[in-house]
Amino acid sequence: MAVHLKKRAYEEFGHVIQEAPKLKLRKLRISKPSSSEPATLSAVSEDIQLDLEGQPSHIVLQILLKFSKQLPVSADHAQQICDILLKHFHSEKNTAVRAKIAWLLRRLSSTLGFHPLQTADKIIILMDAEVSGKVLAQLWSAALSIALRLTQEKSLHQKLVTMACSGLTDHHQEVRCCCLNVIGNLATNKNTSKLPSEKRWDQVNVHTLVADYFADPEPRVRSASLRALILMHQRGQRLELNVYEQSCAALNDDHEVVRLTAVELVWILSHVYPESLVKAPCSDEKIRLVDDAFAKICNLFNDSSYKVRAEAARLLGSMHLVSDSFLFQTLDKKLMSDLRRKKSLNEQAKEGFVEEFSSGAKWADDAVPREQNPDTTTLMNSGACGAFVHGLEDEMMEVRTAAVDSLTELASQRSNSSFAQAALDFLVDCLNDEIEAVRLNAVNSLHMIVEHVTLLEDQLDNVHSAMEDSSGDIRAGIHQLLSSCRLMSKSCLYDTVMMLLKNLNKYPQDRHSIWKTQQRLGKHHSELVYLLVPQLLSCHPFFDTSEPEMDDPSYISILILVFNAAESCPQMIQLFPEHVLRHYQYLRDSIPELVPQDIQLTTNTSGVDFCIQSPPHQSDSNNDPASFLQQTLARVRDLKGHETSTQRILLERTIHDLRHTVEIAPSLSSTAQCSADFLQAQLLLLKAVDKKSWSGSAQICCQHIAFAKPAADQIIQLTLELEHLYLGLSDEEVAMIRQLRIKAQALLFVLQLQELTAGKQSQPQQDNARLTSLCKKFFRMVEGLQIFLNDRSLTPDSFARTLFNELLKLSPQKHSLIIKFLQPLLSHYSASEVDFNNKVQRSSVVVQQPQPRFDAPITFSAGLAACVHVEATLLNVVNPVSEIRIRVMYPDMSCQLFELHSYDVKQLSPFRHQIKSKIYLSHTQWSDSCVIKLSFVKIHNKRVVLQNCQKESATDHGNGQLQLCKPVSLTIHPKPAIRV
Amino acid sequence: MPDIRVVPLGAGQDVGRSCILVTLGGKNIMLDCGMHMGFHDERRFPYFNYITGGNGRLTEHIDCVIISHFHLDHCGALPYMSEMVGYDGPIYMTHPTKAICPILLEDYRKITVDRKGEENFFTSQMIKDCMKKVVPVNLHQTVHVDDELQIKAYYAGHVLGAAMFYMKVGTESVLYTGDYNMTPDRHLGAAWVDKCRPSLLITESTYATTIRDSKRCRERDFLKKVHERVENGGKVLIPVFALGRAQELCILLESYWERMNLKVPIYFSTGLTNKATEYYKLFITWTNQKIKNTFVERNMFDFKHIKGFNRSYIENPGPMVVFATPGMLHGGLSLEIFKKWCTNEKNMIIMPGYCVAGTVGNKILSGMRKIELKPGQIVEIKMQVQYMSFSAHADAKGIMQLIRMCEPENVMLVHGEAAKMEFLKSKINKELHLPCFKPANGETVVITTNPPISAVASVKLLHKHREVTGITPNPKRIKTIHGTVIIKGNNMQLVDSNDAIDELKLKKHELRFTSTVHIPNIHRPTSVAMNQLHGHLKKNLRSHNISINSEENILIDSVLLKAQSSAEEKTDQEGMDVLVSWSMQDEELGTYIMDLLRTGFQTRTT
Repeated sequence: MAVHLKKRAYEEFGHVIQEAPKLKLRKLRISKPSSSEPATLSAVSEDIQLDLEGQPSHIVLQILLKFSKQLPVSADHAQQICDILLKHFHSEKNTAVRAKIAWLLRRLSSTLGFHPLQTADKIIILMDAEVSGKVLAQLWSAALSIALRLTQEKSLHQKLVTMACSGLTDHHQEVRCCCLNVIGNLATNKNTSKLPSEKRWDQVNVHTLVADYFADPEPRVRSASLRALILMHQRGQRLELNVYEQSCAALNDDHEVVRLTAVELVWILSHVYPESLVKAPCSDEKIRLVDDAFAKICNLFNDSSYKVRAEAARLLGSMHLVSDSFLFQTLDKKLMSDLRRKKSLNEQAKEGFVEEFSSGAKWADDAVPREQNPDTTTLMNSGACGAFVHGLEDEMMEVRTAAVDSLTELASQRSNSSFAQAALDFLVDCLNDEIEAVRLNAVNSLHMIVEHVTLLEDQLDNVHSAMEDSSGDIRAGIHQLLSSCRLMSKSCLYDTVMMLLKNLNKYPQDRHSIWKTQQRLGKHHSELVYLLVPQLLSCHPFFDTSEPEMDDPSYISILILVFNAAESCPQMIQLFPEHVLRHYQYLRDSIPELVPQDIQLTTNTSGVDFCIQSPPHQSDSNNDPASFLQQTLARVRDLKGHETSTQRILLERTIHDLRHTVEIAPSLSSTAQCSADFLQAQLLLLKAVDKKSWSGSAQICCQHIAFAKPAADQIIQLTLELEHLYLGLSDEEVAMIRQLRIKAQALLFVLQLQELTAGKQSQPQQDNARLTSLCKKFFRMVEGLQIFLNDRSLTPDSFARTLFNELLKLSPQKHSLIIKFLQPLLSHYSASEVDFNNKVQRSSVVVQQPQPRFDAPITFSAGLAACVHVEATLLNVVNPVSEIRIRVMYPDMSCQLFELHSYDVKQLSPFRHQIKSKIYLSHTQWSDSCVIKLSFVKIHNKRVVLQNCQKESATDHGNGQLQLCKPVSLTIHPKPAIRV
Repeated sequence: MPDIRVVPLGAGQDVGRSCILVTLGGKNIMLDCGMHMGFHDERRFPYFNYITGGNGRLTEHIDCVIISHFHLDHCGALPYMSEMVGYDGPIYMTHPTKAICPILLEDYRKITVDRKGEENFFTSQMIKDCMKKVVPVNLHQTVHVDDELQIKAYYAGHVLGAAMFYMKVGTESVLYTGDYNMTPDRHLGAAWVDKCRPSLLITESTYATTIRDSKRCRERDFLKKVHERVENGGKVLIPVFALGRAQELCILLESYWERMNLKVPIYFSTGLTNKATEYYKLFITWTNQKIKNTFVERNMFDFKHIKGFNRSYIENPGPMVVFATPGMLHGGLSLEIFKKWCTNEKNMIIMPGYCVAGTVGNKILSGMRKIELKPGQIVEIKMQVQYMSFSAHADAKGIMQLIRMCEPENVMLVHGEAAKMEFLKSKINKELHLPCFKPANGETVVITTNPPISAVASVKLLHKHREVTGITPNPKRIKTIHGTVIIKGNNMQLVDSNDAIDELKLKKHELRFTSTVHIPNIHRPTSVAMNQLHGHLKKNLRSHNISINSEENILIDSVLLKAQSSAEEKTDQEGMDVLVSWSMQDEELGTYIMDLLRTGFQTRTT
């Protein structure tokens, strides 16, 4: 609004320029170039006071314009300026200036801390005298914005509404718009004002009064009046039923804006009075209002403006109360007004359904029907008829998408599935849309309603044909769809399985999703699978067929289907050939997540009863892992009270228990592992700083160094993992971890110093420099920790505090002093307790592709790159693209990091991402097949990573990467050069 | 009364050689100028002698010619008309039509003259000369043909560059649709027209009795059948015309191939099509949303999977899809390929459109399995034959939709079969309550219009009116305005009757209606009764001034109610006679009060 007003103010300003001599204006501009300078407020108000009096209009306008750029002003000045403006308003002749003043009043009244009630009263007085429409409109919007600020001033509201009601008769359309806006924003149902001059036969209240303006000659006023009622509704006022008819009439307006607003109002009314009865068009019957509104909104699918069509399509979805008869009409273009039940396309096809109109699908089908019964074949324009059919094949994608959404919503919220069944045909057809977004939307929508319905054969055909889509998302959607739907018959299932296998052949990368689909299909349709077992496993009643290859993905997918069906339908086990049983054992172990674990497989084909035992259950002696975890952690709660040796034993036991918890309770594994790692790090540190071994003889010392150095490395690694691989750690916890790490780093540092000082004699110069640089590096770490703690205003523990206070004062050159300072500090270390709550989640990666296979190497030609598809699920990672890399380690220990692209990553749910990427392996001089290791790593220190991008450093923690999963070993094999 | 005269010279209850003459406000307009496929004699062109009377040129009879799109049944007779009969006025068509039209005309000329050896046909030069007379128009551009006649083009779908034309002279207007399509297809959008409210809508009605299944159904069927065939190693032949449907099907197959990752080759018989596709590439603004949007990255008409066809490919083994011209299988490459492939049951032919009786296409569609391709040589057809309606005409529902979109006063059906038109006509009459015509060729239809008559109303009258009726635009209240129309020469004035009397120096007469109503069941004496009546009326007529004066008469605005002193002998009876008197101006109120007195009061007292 403000923009609009400003624009208009400028337009009027332009008008003034035409009148005023141009020279003068230019002079002014030159003489006052200070608009950009920040003038003080008092000066501004004084300027205005001085300038406005006796100035010609165009100069006043200039001043006002300049002033408007300096808004907002402080509350004190606002009052002052308002007074000046109001005073000037009376004497001003020029409408443009008055309009600008009114605009300024509106802006000023919204100044923070300024109470504009008085201003409002003055504005109301001004309105009485004002004649110019433009100024009046500005005054109205000023009054409105004040009234909206002063929500408590009911009397002001009442007064404004009464004035607005009488102001509606103004000639100027903008005034009428503004008045309607005021009514919409302020009026309540109690405002039943009646104009004295008005002669009406019916009862007047504010709604009907506004509704009268639905037929205003000016389209902007029409839409403003509709908008006013919508506003009233949004403010919680109950709308009158009798405006319904008038708003319906506005649906046929010539102007797009009016129709767009009217459709919203009709929709609102249909929600307020769904069950009221209204007269049906062209008959004497009465129908429910919601049905009538539904039909009328459906009719807008034929609108000439696509915005209206899209809005109509969007709104239809939420009209849940509409009766079935109307709903079914939306799917049949041919259905006439007699509301007979619509048959699905399939049913029609079966019966060779004959209609009055031909469908145009058959040749010479459109001969004129002989018999015409005028009573039954009427009303092609009965609104709802075929609405969705139109909507789904609309020209504009926006309409199509909205129609798909609405149709889905209507279908999925119905209690009976018949509409969903009917809608299915059309949604399935959308799988063939030209725009991928619409197709994808259709797939997802189908997924929502498919639980209610059974897919018929020809519908299934269409679903199948969409499976060959080259877009992976759509294929994945179809797979999901198939895995949750119910199939009609044996042949449906068979076709589906065959299509899935075909899909697998064409797009091998879909293997995982297809297997999952097969699993679900098997679970849902065990009876159907039972009938198909001989066909699927290609058993022959008399002959033994050749045993299929175990590695064939399609064979595996069949087995997955069959085994999952067998779980709930054990009688089919009798039909399995012997090799299937063997393969079961293999699959049960190799893909446990897809194959049920405990099918009792018995067979007597080999003459002997041969029974495969299910694997022993992991006995869950402790029924409540959560309390077990609590107990375990409680043990180390008051660790400090114990002897060092006791501490160690306690820690060792606790760590052991925690590791066990990780295995038995997946839900608690993150917490348990986190705690275990933390305790492990502490235990290691305890051992490493053991006073006895440290200050012992040279030999013991040597042994100690041999133990302590890797221990320190390991602690650093563990703490890095703790810090970066877990989500949900609080700042305090991170601080604890980092302080533990600084101890390990201190230990490592001391050990390195000792080593170097011991061998100092050989090359004193060089060693000194190295020592100094080591010291500096350590100092930097300490400083980094200090900054970290200070930023979060956390208190450091005693060790860190001593470091900050004492160590940083020392010079990095005084090595021996530093050692003497650190060593006793470290040896005083004792373990602290740990309490990670269960909100901690560990980041991890599950690699689906590639799988380690030594027998089927990836071959590539010399000189070319080999492509490896990588598919994985990331858990608990915030930003995969920036944090996660794929690392490939080559046999020569060189490693390469591959970045992910944003289009590789698809978010499945919060903190769950699907990765589908390709990496290209470039080759070096290889002649033999060798193993490369592929893993996912998390980057925690980008700088370091960039530095040693290519070379593999000795320790893992030094390179800023943390491994997220076990490396997958792949064999790659260069193709022998072809000899010509 | 002004009228619009329409004479179809072609396309009246018929498909082919569309040519409709419209006389609108004294202007003669020729809509389309097409040829008829079914005839090879002079009947193939419209009967222009009807206009000229056998001598003279058309120029003096016709003000302008409008061509809706480039199909030959809409523009095929154009060079004949302009060059051989003689017409030098403007010819209007859209830019794509102007670009593509000469190619088709030239092709048509070649077939008739070079192949069939006809003489006395237009020449290439004539086509060029004719095209020089063409004035191209843009969509929604208002072109002033002369001072009075203006025309405007709307998007019609159907084929590239197809347009509907709106013509207007003064207050009368005509909308001519040409051929149009209300459902968008793979390359074109749907026809669109604003609420132009023409006096007459002339619409095509090719599919007057059809309401099509959803478009997707058809497409899906088509794609499935093609896919199935090529997967089984069969060949698919799709006979098409060079322009229009061909491009739609190409886009459809192309995107399907892309989507499904298929590698089977698709061929298109070269020649005309290449040229035409070039134009499709150029006129991207005339296509649909998807093509427009993807145009930035890739022009959809740059086909990736579709290649040019060479005769030597006919014998190639393996599956393939071939688009070949002509569409009705009446000769040319498509027939040649058909002869080679028809004996293999693995192959399939898909007929995507209409086939005229007598062509091979028509025969195989009607189910004939043994066809005499050459005299004495009968071939048994083993290949599958499919019909797929990809015709881009509006169906019955689309026609109704267009009528509702533009809200005409009259509708005329052309370009269709008579029986089907009759059916649609009854629908239009019944459901839209519009007069509908379906003239045969040569039959003149005269449509009388009711042009609005404008009069200057005096401000005084309007002010007075405003005071009387109130200011809000209350639609529930009928607003009448009482005034006097004075006609002086050509201008009309609406003034207050008193002013008119003054101006014309007439004597004023007042007309009053007086009536007596007997009201039974009312209490005497009169004064009580009148007060009772007053109260009653006040309740019913809230918005009027109701007063009772000293003589116990009730005044409602200018309506007077007076108690009639009835005869003495009736005193014992209840009831009273009331005299009601009202002036002519308050007729409405007066009758209302009469009704009120007759009915309302009795029920209340009993």
